Amino acid sequence: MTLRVRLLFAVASLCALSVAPARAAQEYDIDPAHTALYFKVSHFGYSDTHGRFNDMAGKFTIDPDPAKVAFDMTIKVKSVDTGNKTRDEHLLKPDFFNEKQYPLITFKSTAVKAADGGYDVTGDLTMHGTTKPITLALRGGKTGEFPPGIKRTGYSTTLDIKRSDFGMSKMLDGIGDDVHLSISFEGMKEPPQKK
Amino acid sequence: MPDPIQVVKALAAAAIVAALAPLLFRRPWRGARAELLSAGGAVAVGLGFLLGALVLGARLRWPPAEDQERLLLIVLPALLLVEWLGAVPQVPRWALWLLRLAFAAAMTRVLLHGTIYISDLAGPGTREWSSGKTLATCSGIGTLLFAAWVSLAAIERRSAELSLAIVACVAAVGSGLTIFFSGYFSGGLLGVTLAGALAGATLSAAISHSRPLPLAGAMRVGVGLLAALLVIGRFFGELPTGLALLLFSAPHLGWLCELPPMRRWRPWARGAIAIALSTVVVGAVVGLSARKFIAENVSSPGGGGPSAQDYLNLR
Repeated sequence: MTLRVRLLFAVASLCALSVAPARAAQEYDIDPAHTALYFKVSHFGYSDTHGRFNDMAGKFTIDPDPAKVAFDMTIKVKSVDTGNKTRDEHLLKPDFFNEKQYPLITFKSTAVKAADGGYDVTGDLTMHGTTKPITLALRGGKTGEFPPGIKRTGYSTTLDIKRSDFGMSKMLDGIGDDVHLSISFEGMKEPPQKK
Repeated sequence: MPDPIQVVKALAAAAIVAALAPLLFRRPWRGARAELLSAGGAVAVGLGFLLGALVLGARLRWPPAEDQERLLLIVLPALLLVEWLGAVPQVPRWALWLLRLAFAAAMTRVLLHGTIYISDLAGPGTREWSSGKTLATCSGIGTLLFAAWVSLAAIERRSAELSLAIVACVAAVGSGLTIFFSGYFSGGLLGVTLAGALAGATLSAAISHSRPLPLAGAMRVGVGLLAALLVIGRFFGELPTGLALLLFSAPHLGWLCELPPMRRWRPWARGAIAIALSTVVVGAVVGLSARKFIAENVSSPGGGGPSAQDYLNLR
């Protein structure tokens, strides 16, 4: 092989290697065992009452193109847990969440922008029959396989909302209007089943 | 905890409006038709109840999305329309009772519209009741309400005129307190405004020159609203079914006074016994639910936590 042919072959190989194959979108199912949504709200100004929702499910899609990234989550209101059964039952009544009328809290993304360390996700939060746009600053995105064969990634964020914006405006003089949310979730992607 | 001042304002607003509204239907210079006065009393209770609810902060949105909105925007107007038709001479009595039957049959279904009892709100197959259970529950409650109206019409002829109204007020206050202690605070306060409206309408009738007292329409609306409140207390609060039934039966305890030898007593004596019986039953129900509320919500005074009185005084 002449030197010119070898050179041409080397350049052609380099060009072929530099065009990396496109990464497909990764769809994940929420892993409920490693997902948590905590909230805290003022109790008559003395301290904050803390609680969580124990039942959160959903899917999300991660893609190199942020326009294709999407999040769709559902929380069962009945899973509210403040560590006090009587208080939990009161929270489910019409004075607060009105679980018989609005059993689910949902979040569906509408726009996603890449951010340093994650994404800024804008979407519709529907709670107590009212839908409002919110933006979540999701940070994280570490990927790996855990357990082996199961791809995993996760994100965390915090958010402040006013419950009165969602029609939950009873007893505002005792139970605070400002609610601080802390959300952490992981998603799992199982390998495709072999045919 | 609710603001006691706001509760008193709501009670006063309900009573004042219910007391003044019948004046729109009376002609002081000559007697008014009994049916018109009865319809006037019904409208008075309805308007007083509505105003009291608004003073308490009830929301009104269309279409109504929650139980209290359906109560105030659909159930209450329908109830008033039926009673108002009673003032129209061309409407036969049997047609009115048919309308009342239709109202009773539909009331629970309307109040539970869009809830997880009868809709798949949390996904396919998540409704809590089958179609059969929905039909049985709604028709069962409707039957109780219609029977209550029939009972009321029969006992009105034999009881002291004011005693039934007083018993209805007692039942309304007791229902409100019991719903409150079952954990549905704002729903319970509506019972207090109902009592205020009934009291106002009763006072207005008592000082009128009309005899017999034009309270039939007011009482039917009062009993209808009492049933509606107990339905929302049961299915949106945690009001036990047994307590709800006891509270609803309170206005009909006067039938016990038809047993010998009381049935020969004068109407005022039978009325007094009916009031006493109802007060004892309603008082027992309220006491039971208050005890449960305190036990579940409050630490013992010796344990360093707030007492029940501390919570009630917290402002």
